[in-house]
Amino acid sequence: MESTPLLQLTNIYKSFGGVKALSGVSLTANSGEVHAVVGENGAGKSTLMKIISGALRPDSGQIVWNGTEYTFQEPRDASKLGIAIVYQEPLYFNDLSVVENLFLGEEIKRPNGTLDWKSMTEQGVDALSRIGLPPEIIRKPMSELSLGVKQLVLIARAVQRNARLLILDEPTAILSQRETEVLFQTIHTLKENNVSILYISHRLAEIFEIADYVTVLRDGHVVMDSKVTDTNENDLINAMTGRKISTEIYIPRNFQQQDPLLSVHNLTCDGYYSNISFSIKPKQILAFYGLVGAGRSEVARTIIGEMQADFGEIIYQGRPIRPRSSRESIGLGIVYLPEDRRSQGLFFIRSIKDNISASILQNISSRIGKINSNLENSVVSQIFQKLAIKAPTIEIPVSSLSGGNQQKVVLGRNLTLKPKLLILDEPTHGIDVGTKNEIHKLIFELANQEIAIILITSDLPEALAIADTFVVMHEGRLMGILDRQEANEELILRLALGINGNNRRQDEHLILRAPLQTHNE
Amino acid sequence: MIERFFKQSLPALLSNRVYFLIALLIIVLIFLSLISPYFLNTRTILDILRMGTVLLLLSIGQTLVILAGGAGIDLSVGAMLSLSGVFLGILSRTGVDIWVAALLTILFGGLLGSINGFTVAIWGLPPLIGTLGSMWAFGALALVITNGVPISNFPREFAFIGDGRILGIPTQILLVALPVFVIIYFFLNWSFLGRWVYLIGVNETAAKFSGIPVTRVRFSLYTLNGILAGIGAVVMASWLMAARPDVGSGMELQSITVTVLGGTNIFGGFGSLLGTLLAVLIVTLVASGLQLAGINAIWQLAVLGFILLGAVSINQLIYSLKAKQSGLSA
Repeated sequence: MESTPLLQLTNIYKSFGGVKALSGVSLTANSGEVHAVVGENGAGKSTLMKIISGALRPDSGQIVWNGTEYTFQEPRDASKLGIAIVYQEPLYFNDLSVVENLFLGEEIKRPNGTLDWKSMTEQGVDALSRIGLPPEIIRKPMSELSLGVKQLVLIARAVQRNARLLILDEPTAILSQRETEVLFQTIHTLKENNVSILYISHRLAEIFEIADYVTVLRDGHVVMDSKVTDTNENDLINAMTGRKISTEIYIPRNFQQQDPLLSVHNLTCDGYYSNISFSIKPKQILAFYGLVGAGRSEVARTIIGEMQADFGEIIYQGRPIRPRSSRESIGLGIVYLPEDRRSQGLFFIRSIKDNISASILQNISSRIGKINSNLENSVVSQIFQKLAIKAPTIEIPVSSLSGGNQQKVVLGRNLTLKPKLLILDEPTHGIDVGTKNEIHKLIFELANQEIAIILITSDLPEALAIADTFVVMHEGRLMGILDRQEANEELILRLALGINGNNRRQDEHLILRAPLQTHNE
Repeated sequence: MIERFFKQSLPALLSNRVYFLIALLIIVLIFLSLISPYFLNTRTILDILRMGTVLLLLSIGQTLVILAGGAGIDLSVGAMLSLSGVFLGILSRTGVDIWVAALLTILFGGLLGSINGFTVAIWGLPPLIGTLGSMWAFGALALVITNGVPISNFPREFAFIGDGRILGIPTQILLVALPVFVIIYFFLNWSFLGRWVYLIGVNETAAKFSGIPVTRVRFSLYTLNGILAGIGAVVMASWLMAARPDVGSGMELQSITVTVLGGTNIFGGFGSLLGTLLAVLIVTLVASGLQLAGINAIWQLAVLGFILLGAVSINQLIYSLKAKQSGLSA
């Protein structure tokens, strides 16, 4: 059984300006195996993958490929050997066709120097079919494909270039359930073709589904290296966080006697969602579950006034409201945490302080408009400590924080507004387990302070762990509202997939539909 | 010790645009005093800087509009300057008291600016297009109204602003440039409105979700630009004792040049008024120095271009050298 490993890293060290990113990391990848690498944000996973793909050079340590030691000067060196990486946010050209993307930079030419489209199309179709993609997409522009298919096309590119080691960085983060299944089938096929796969993910369940080996990184050290069959989810979480985390975190609260804080009646916005009705009380945690593109964010954006409904009513504190902007809804006590913290939440080059105080600047200023910096510092410091944001001071730019801490900063800004209704759109997306748990605890704490919380999430275990009530949407329609007693994973998933009872819908082509395409029923 | 200063401290200092411009300003002063022995004299320098007042007013507004992002830019500042001046000339000719007329001119400038605010911030035209349109419209209007002939019947006492002195300091510096700069500097750096300008420039969407009234802020900045052009028109008319309908042509590009030379990011979110002030000082001193040296006026424009290209390139170079040293480029 023992043969030369495909890739062997020994004692890799890497620091950035005094900060140690990797200290003595060793890792072995074998052909035909899926090797998962997990760890919290900032544990060193990305740095390690960049070293393997040649984008970074280690300070010390050995990289042995197929028995020979190598020093990569640039990514091209690694890709020549057959190492390919598909990043979390995939890089591709939206306006070019699939075949153009597949052969980008390595086009096949005829002897006279012109492009040999015939060969490229043939080989491209071959690569697509090898990972189970329909060959007819070869001429389509990337922009017409869903995010998941785009990701698969990039994997096909690696396959077409005969990659022997494929690095997948959080590949399922942007995929729907169905697309994830296709990806997993692809991974199985690649395994059979003797490709070695390094699989980075936050989603532990996936690791047990597809990986053979798992390596856990924490603060730049390897803290666990094991066969997947020899471990379990709790062990992994403990290794990642270095502390025990209970998975049973639900704290019951009594909100039944209260009047609803917000109720929505037959809300409809053509092309996005139709006939949505639900209500929420103070202290209640309401999860909005659905696949990407189900219309959940759009409903939230209508409540905060950034989208306008065509029909229906929003009743808040007993009165109909129709806010025209976030500024108006904030005035009412409705506060929204946007879906994409980088592009919608953060002022990236500004300090933690400036980010947290952004919403209350006017309130902490004197009559002539001067910001009271003592007050600003004290409000921000209080939030900074309460949320345990990991940073030396509040003056450093948020760009230098990890994803989880960045999310805490945006959440901190929301809390400065003392919300009555807090709408959290994917608050733990792409965040490490430790911070995720802290955010869950915080959500309970806020709910106990009479705040009503709408939690939009694509993470079903998360919804099940903390929500009192589940609103499930599918393609813009409300599929059901379940309370905690009647909800279970299977039922919610069925509703979210639009599957009623045993009549399984024919949705083979679901995968080819761009997720944000509008659905007119 | 000395080696350390030149290898580490100096590059670190100079990679900051403001310090870089201070160094450049000192070099310009030394150079000019070498060309002309009469130069290094407070009175001469103040007289020269007087020429920078109007450019400073326009550049302050330009800096704010660019800082607030969303591809913000105002190409119409020169045309607003010309048209406001013509407005002042007409009021004066019809017998309105000159000081009342001056006040009305500033308001008129604000009205012109609010037209840009409306088309760009509220209607949503790209700023480049919206203000390019108003640039042609305002500029042409100024020429049509006057038939291209300057209006020059201002009362003698009006010259006080452009040509007077208080305690030996030119009035337009003491009563216009200095107070306007100080007030807007305070506004940008200490007030919540100033912070809003920066935050909107960094991330418009995040600003919107944070409850910052993005549209209103941008509208106000374009309006402020008009007000500053109106003030500039009063200064200019008082100085020339005439309202020339083409007085502002070319100044829109000068104000943009000065703004980017001062270190403001053309895409917004980053920059400072101090940088803009220093850039105005440098450009004004160099222009007059070239005049002193008897160099053709056409060359002076080329020199402005060279300063911009040279200064920004050298600044970039120092910045990347510093980044390499501290390992940030890894």
